[in-house]
Amino acid sequence: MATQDRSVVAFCCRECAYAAADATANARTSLPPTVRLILMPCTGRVSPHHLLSALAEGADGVMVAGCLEGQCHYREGNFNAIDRVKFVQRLLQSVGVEPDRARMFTMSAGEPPKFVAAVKEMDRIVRSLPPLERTAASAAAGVTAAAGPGAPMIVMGAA
Amino acid sequence: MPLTNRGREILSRVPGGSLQRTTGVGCEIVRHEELCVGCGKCATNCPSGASTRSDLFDVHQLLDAPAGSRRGALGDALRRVMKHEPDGPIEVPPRVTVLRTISYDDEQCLGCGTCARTCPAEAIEARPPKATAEPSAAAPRAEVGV
Repeated sequence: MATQDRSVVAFCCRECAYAAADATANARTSLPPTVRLILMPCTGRVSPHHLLSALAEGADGVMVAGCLEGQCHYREGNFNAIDRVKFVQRLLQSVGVEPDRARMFTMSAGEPPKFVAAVKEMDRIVRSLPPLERTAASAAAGVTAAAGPGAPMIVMGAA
Repeated sequence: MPLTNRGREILSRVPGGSLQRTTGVGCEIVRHEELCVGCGKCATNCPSGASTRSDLFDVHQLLDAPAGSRRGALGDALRRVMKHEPDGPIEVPPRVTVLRTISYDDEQCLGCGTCARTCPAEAIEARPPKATAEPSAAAPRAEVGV
């Protein structure tokens, strides 16, 4: 019961972190059940909007997992992601939310243990914090937020 | 007061133009901060350095952004998780390029309307000069409907 009431959304880059997650699954290593993986082409695709929407729609923490610094397959996507996560942390801090709810991790594709460690670390952080309180979705959002815990929805705004 | 050569040249052509009164090249610049996306194009194109792209971001801009815009969606998400009103401007990391507050100095503005023409979000309005100066060629083109 207690394991299900928090959720972490992990944005993983296809080249490194998701490959590491795949290897983890192939090795039958279990991950904390709270984490939901989302495949991204590169962590440079992650915008503050993704992270904040995930938090607003039901996640208690978000993590971005990308390539090692300097080893991004698109050259500098992970540096962009690092700064965006930093920006979201400052944004959260300025409105009174714990900045640790957004974290960036880097790893290479050949390091499944590092991926597991990152997920466990995030799980530990989220567990040590109280559940994230949210106000009801505004009428304009048009999204049913009552999908239940553990089923966060990402809704992109109209471009 | 930093003025480019082009700014000086424009200023010299305006009868009675002075930096203090900024009736200069003429247009009255109206900025709609809630529509601004913070790209800084106005700052890079400004001939007189009146608009500058700062390293700070005022979080209220997100909350005030109109619904349906990208910033509005971000503000919507932030409003749902926030515990209190934003503390004040936050420092923006260098690689976050768009979520910034553009500072605008009325005193240095020549009213040339370049910012209004380059603004992709149509957040800047250049109103034609009031009766005093003759209508310059740039003024009618500079007008942006918001």
